[in-house]
Amino acid sequence: MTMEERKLTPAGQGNLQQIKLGIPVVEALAQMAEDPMRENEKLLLRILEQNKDTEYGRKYGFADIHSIEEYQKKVPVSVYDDYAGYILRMSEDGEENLITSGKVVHYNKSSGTVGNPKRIPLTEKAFQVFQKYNGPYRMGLVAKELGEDWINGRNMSIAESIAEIQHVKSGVTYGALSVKMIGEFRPYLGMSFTSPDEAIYPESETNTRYLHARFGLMDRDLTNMAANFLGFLLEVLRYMEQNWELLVNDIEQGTIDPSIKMSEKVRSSLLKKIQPMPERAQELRRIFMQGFEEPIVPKLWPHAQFLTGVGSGGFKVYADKIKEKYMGEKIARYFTGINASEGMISVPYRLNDEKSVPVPDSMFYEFLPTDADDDFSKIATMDQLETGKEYEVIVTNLSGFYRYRMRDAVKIAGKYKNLPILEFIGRIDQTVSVMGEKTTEVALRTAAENTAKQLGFDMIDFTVYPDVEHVPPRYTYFMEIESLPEGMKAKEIRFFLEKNLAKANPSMGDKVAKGICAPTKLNILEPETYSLYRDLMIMKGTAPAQLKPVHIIRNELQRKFFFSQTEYGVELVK
Amino acid sequence: MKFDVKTQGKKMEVALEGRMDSATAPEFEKEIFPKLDGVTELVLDFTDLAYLSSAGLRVLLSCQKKMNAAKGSMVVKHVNEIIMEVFEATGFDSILTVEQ
Repeated sequence: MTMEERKLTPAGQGNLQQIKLGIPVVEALAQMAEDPMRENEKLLLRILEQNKDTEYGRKYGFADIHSIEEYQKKVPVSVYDDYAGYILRMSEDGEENLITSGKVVHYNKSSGTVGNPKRIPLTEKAFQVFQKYNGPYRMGLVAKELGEDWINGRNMSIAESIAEIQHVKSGVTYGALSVKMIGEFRPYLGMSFTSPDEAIYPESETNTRYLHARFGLMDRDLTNMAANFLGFLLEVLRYMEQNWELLVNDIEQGTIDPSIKMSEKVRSSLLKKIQPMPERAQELRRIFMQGFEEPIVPKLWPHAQFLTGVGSGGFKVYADKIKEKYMGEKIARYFTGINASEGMISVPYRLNDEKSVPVPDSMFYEFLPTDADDDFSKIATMDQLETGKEYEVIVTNLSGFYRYRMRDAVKIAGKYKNLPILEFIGRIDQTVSVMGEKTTEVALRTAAENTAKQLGFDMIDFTVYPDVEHVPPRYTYFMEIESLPEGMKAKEIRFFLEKNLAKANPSMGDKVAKGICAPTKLNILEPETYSLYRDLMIMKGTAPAQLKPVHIIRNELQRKFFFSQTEYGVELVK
Repeated sequence: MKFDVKTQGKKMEVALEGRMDSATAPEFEKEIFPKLDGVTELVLDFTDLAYLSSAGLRVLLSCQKKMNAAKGSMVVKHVNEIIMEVFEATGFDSILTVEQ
């Protein structure tokens, strides 16, 4: 470490180390982007060579495959059930060389929307790739675009790790990968994160919104923010807006208001970590008293430079809201690309863009057009994709999945050098249909967001229920609204929603116009419904990082929950 | 909403009357929560509680969390049919101990 490096804060030293590792990774990806197919084919042939003696490899003759064409002829497209038997033997009995010759270091608990959670194996090699692109690559890309002024500051990371890591019978860890990753860094989190250990590993009764906000506000010099689930960061920012006086008073006096829920043990531990900060409190009070008309984050943290989080698909609504209301244009955004239990599907190639590019040394990619009706002869490789067209991603990964259907749909948005730029559309099954019209989550979201924009209200979130029991069938929207302009009626919102939905999905508009489907119904949800849902799911054992937005109601629990939180429903009488 | 609190050792019994909604739930929470320290058996008597909104559910969730953390128990008893429907609809029936 140089003299200059020694002068850095512990966060600065850690960030600098990541940047040093990351810049070559960023440059390597840029290099691979020149001829991605060469790298991707090389990776495929290496995977086949390394796994030719596994049970799966012998079954499909990996040893005799020497090209992509041969691979596509000999190895079938697969789904999880094709591996379930092998994975059971691996995870329960510790059998090796079944689908992968690699050392399995973890089983990802997939946050599948239905049925039992899956166990997705992760080999050591895949884990290294995952770490490389989650840590160093991110820091390298940020440093390349923003410079290194930010490195000395800490990160207000809204990470929470409630679920404990489990083990399968063979002894390998099992659970959300985020829980495993954060666990490995637990002793060092305080150096990099503003939130205390008591918020990152909270007891169930702890008010973590307060803790993230409070400890973040205490650190004037923080330079970046992060959250897997940007919806929760949005909640924390809203909490700050609603409770700033209490937060500032506590910061001023070095206290924790008695109304803030936490056990005595946690309170006592936290009180040892805080001291009165009258000057910071005075500064914060002055800023908060100016109101929230302008983005407040750059004022509260003048050195804040970027936000990290998932900003595509169902999360886009939160990313946009955070930017529009709290962060403004000055804070750059690093969107994490498409991450799945099966591996790193894509990473961003620049800041402030939720679109991303495949990583040719992470997995071998194939793409099935979403309109191909499972005609696998139409499967394309990266170099055969059409811009503007939608595809399902099929991967061959470093952990024993071969031509595996991800059920994730992407749209090709252009090219970064010769790499396709992917725009995440959503899960293949994240469409809704009441009369064969197939509305995507994107269309539902666009209709809701445009309605909120046109009418000037703050939509907390939305959910849609495909009501096929209604005659004729219809969509029922649920919306939680923070600030409805005075005099605005729910009926007016519903009218705009109907128009916007017809625009987002003309097929639905046409069916409503012809009376084949009924006009959309709108239910306004009670305040803090989404917050309550989140708390309920965590209480039931869901890991916070695995909580996905419920934009389409998929099961009975969700249906009953959202209907029960309705103040009143509005139907358009034709 | 009115509520009557009886504490005996580590057991607290609270009888509620009226409506627990966004107007009354915060007051209940403010009043009851500080008193829960040291309590390991909480009984909420809903005999005279007519209505429970999502704000009320949130308070129940907080109480349940507090009791879980204290390794204690919480029972909601004498729940009317309407409130029971709310518990069932929201999935709260699977995390609360409810006696009708």
